[in-house]
Amino acid sequence: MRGVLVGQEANIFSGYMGKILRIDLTRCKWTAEPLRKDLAENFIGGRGFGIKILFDELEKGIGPLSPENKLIITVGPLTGTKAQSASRWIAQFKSPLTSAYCRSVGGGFFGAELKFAGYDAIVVEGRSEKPVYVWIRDDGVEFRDASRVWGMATESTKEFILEETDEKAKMCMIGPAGERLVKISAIVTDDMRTASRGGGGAVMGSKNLKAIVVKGAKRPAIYDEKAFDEAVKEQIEAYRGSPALEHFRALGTDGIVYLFYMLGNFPTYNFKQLPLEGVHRFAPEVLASYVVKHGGCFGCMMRCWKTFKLTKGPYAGITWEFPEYETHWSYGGVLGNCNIESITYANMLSDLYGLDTISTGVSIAFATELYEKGIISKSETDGLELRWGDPDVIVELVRRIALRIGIGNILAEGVKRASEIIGRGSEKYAMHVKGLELPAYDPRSLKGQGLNFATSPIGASHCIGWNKFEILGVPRKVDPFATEGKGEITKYVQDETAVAETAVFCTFPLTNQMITLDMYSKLLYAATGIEKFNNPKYLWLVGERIFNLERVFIVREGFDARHDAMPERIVKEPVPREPSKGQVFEQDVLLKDYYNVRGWNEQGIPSKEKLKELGLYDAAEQVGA
Amino acid sequence: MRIRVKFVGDLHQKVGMTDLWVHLPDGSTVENLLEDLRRNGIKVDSENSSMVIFVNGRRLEFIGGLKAGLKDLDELIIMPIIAGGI
Repeated sequence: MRGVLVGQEANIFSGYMGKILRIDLTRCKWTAEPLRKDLAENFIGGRGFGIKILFDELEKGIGPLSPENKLIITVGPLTGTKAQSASRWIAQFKSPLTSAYCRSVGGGFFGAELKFAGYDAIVVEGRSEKPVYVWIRDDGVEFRDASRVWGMATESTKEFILEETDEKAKMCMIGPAGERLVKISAIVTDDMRTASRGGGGAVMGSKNLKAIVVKGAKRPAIYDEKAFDEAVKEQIEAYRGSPALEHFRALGTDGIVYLFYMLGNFPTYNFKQLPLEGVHRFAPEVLASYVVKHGGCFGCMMRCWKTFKLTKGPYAGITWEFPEYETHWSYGGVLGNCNIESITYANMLSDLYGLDTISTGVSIAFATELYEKGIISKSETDGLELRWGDPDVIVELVRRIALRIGIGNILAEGVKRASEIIGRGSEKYAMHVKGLELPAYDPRSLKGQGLNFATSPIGASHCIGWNKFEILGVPRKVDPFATEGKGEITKYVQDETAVAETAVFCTFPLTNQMITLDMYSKLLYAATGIEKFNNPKYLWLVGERIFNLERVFIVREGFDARHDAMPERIVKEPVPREPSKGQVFEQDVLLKDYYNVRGWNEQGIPSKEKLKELGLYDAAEQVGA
Repeated sequence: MRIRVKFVGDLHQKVGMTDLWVHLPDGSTVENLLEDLRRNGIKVDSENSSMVIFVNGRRLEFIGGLKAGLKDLDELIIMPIIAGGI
């Protein structure tokens, strides 16, 4: 428990715990630093804290898997309170997959417990000589030998570590994929929620850090209990008034798989978008028949977790967390597979090995198309015949990627690097932006959603700015095929998401208008008493500030407009099926409008004036145009 | 002419069937079909923005709305626009 508590004065904030925990794995030392008032006021929490710390502390050009990289885990001022859907946690780091910035968000109970242990953020630095896990409690931090659990899948890791620590502790960890530095590996919680994107698992693996385990008995103070209770009541009423609440409770994100296929959002066969045979198996009433249990994150009435039971086929007997919408696509539609059993099984393997299901599925789709086109042959696939829709091959490739076996060792690098290794024109079939694999939305069917993939600082992420205007028609209906005005609505959803992730709110209620920034402002001011937060306009400003600082981070790393680029197929090949037949992604027009709305120049660099207007003076000096 | 109508999601529970064939005179429109369904006790509120109709995979609003003409063996899918996603 040796460590340093810096600044023993009482916590000056409500809402916050007032401490940032710094863990130095090289020296096995920890420090609890006081939360600075300016950091809280200017960046609020969660995603804001993470990017500010990374921007200030990471040298340009450091290796993402070197000890110089830092893993920041944050929660927000509403985490662990009565506010609904606000207890997610964020992992931020320089990504080994993209060499850009990454922010990846997880759910479950880990975030609230971290807060109860007394921290608003953890900064993990250096590299341990041997495998370790850190055990964080109210009274300090312990570095523990992880050699016994190193090599274990997540479920066993959880069992062994909780037995050694406290069965009620919460944790995040890596599986064998993260240990092997698989670039598409995830960070997984004890309740199998994942911060998947961008290779956070590999960052932990590179630091020889198997897990972070927390248990705490503290609680955040609330500045004005009465006003806070009123605001929470208002939030709960908004939830009850929304049809989305019932949909999420019934079938989580799976309610829309079939609908999104019909709407042309759901790409098939590595974005070739051919009609998907057997797609009726994704109908909500079919998927509902697999559900045997419901669950949810800390402090959330949406209860969108579902457990699937398999009773047929080779995987009968398996009961596991269900594949979300994205995973029905990544192990399903994008591979031409409608076999729910194999999708669920591949999803289970991904949780156990610690893999990002989106990037893993897209990597398999990439290999399958190369095989179909004769670019790679059986001799390079270890004898596997990569055919569309073959459930056995999909499951086998998930295993080989996680363990870096044969062709899996190449695919474990993600599609961008894999296509560079393979060459032979394969990059045409590598579906990524900035190295991050595309998720389950076709940018040709939803131009604003596509514009968000192109300009997201982490690469093609649907969570950075999910376009509710186009997809759900809220807060106003917008034609998904139109190009006009897409810069403005893309900025809107990106900035709104950035500030909502300071709480840390879940994007599900946000995208369904169950949470608004007016509501967030009320909750935040009542929780913290910080005057600036009593104004929704200020929250919009902070959202824009965070998004621009993330952009500046990647600009400093050498990224610019050239990297805001879709794969060739999305820009040149018209969609062959209804309802988006004939559509392409009009990249140049869309980007020009977006940069203009953002106050960035034609190279996609934020102007000095814009950065100063956002209070980002250091950033303006370093990279502003 | 015969039109195949499919009900998806919780709609098929409300309607009590997953699909049916509807016989209509030649030259009928989607509006005529919905009227026919209504006469048979199946009420699909096409004004309700929480419902979406596809004709042969194309969204009704992009092919002329309720006035869109139908032809023999066309397939209609009627489903609730489920909030959610992501």
